[in-house]
Amino acid sequence: MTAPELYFRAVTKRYSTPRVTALEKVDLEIGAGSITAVIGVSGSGKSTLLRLAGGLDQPTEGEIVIGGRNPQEMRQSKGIGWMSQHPALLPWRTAAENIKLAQTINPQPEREMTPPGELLAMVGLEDFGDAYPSTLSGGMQQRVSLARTLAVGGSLWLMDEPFAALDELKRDALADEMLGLWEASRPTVVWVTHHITEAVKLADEIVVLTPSPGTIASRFPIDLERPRDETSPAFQMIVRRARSILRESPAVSGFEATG
Amino acid sequence: MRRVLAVLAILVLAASACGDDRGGGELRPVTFMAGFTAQANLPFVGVYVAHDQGYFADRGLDVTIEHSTGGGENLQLLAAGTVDVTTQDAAVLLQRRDDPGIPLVSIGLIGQTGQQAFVALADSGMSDPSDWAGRSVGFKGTPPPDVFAILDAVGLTEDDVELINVGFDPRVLTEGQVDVYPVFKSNEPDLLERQGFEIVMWDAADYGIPTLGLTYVATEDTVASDPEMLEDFMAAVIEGISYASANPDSAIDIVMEYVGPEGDAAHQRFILDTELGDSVSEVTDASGIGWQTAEQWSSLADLLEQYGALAPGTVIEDVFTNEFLPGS
Amino acid sequence: MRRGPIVAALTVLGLVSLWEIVVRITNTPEYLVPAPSAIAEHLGSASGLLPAAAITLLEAVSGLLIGASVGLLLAIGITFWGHLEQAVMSIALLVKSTPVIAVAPILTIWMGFGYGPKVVVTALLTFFPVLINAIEGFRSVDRSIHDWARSLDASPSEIFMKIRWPSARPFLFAALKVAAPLAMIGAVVAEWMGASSGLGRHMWVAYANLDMPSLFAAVLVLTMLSAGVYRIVVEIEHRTIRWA
Repeated sequence: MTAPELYFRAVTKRYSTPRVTALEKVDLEIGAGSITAVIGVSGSGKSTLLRLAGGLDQPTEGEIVIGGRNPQEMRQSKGIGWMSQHPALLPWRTAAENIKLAQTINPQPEREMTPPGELLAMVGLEDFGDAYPSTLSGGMQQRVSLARTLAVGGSLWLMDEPFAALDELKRDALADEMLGLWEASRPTVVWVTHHITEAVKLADEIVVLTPSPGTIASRFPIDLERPRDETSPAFQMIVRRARSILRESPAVSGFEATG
Repeated sequence: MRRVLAVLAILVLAASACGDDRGGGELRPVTFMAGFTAQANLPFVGVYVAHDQGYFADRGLDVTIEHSTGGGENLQLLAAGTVDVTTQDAAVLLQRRDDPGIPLVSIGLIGQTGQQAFVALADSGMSDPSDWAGRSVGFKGTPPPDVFAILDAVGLTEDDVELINVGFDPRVLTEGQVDVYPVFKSNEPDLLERQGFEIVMWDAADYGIPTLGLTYVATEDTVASDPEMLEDFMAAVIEGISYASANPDSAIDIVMEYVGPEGDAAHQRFILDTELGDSVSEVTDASGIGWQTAEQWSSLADLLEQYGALAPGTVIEDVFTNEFLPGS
Repeated sequence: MRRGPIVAALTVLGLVSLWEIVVRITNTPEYLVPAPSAIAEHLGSASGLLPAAAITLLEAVSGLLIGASVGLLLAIGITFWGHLEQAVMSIALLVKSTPVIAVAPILTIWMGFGYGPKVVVTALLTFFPVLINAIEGFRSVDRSIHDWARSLDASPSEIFMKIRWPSARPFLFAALKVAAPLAMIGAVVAEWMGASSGLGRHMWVAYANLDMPSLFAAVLVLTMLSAGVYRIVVEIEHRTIRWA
């Protein structure tokens, strides 16, 4: 599947309990095959943005178009690779069985399926196919989850702080790994994160959201070549820029941007 | 402050002086347990009336009245000494003496004939136990000797009828689950007739089969060690029964205090009347209410032995005593 | 060397011996408290306990299977059609609150003196814990897992079969562990209420005859059956749920 472009057109999302406007009149274009990092303080609507893109919730107003289709159609054709900060693995299935399940739900016969063993090898877990999630560490579980995201073979990856629960070292390692996997098929990626350095390291573009109501405060591209050197002045400058934008935005439940 | 203490002291002394007023000697405590829940069974009535009319107090007895659920715990409590006097069906008394060997003694035979009978719906067309052939006959728990004795009396055998273990709800008769239903004469017939069902009833006694009813029971121990208490007790309850016989309405009022507001006074009256009728016989005409003979008891024991409900070897003289009855 | 079972066995043996000694020393008659030796003797003799136990076991297991199935089906229904919940729960609570004593005689009148009423009573007793636990279990799906499944456009029945059902299994076993001994008691109580055969009847007749050794022997058999059924549930659980 070719990677789609993503459009948010005047998207507003209001919840009734509690009464909050998570997003208000958000306009966003995300280029096909690009990695977009969405950052912002808590309550700025980052997760909502992702859920709307994935068709898990409906916008109150506005529309979302993905590769010329709406999110529901994208889901139905199994075009979405969803990854959350919890591994969300089924405890009663082994690592390999969890990956296999992703392929057997809503099967798409024309799509080629990579065997689970190969996917596990891609994330460095080729010996752990028969392990149950409870026997794996948090980092390993997230890698299985990543492999599972690949297993779907989707062209749109929606990732909600996928490495938030891991420590610094693991997070860096997995980010690199993910980048390598992305290079293979170049899906469109929307990556929500709290971590500025991580965002700058991975993304083609950064979108900064501010809360109450959730709107786009700023967005800017990152024109550095990959692999990116965190210590380089250019890198640091972008990080500082992103940080200052965040600092100016009103906090909802405390300023949480790290990195 | 001293005045307050003085007043208090005087009050305390006065109170303690009042508390001790018992007239002559002390009342002897006695525990009576009715063999079933509160109702107008004659032995229970004797006790209720004796308590209410002061016949116990007159004789220096302080009787506590308990009730059992009918499960048999009254005999256990009697044997353990927690209860002094209880009631029991005569046949059961013989059986429990034998197995498991509780040393029970009948100190008064109130039910001179048995409590049980068999009924069928009138529109079943049955009129005689010989009509039982080919029908279903119910029993509660285990088939009583009466059933077999009646079958023998009319020339049928066990194979001519279908014996079914029925429960305690007479509706199985009215709903047609069983043809012949075992009843307590003073109980279910009244209930059934009030619900509009006409019934036909057969009493084993009508076929020459020996049956006996409720007794007052004590243990051999109590009989030996506390005869005065038992004599006073029996005198009081016999007086109570005489009162009930002469003043049934008043007696029922007393019974209803034990039965409670959910009870049906008319039904209780039926029980009382039925059992008053069953309390008289040639024996009591001669010697008074509650009198019992060796002949009565041996006939019953023989019947039970004949149908395998009792092992042989019962010593009849040990089973009963009339020594506590007013007539002795 | 596993100490646990040995300590347990020794404790039981000690208590039983103490019981025997006390009964003998105080010369307690058998119709008040039977000595363990008397009970053992009754167990050994051909007293009809085994056939009675088989009947009660059959009633209990049948009732349990029916009750558990009903509870499960209702829970599945509620999972798919949420608006059923109030109606089902109201009726379930009504059933649960009705004492067996009130229900059993009516059942005997409708269904006769055989197995029917006992199985129904047992089913009525066991369906509630299964219903409650199954509903909990089907709902207890992790939100992240649910989101992931929906991102793949899994159908409600796919979500049920592949996620809710396996997720609910620990809850179901918990319910069965409660329901299995309950089913045994239910069958016995139902036998007391209505005419019957089985352990309940055996106990009832024993008590009516004040045959305490027989009564205690029956209680012992009942206890062992209950423990046995419970153990079977635990075994099945261990073999099915290997991932926890």
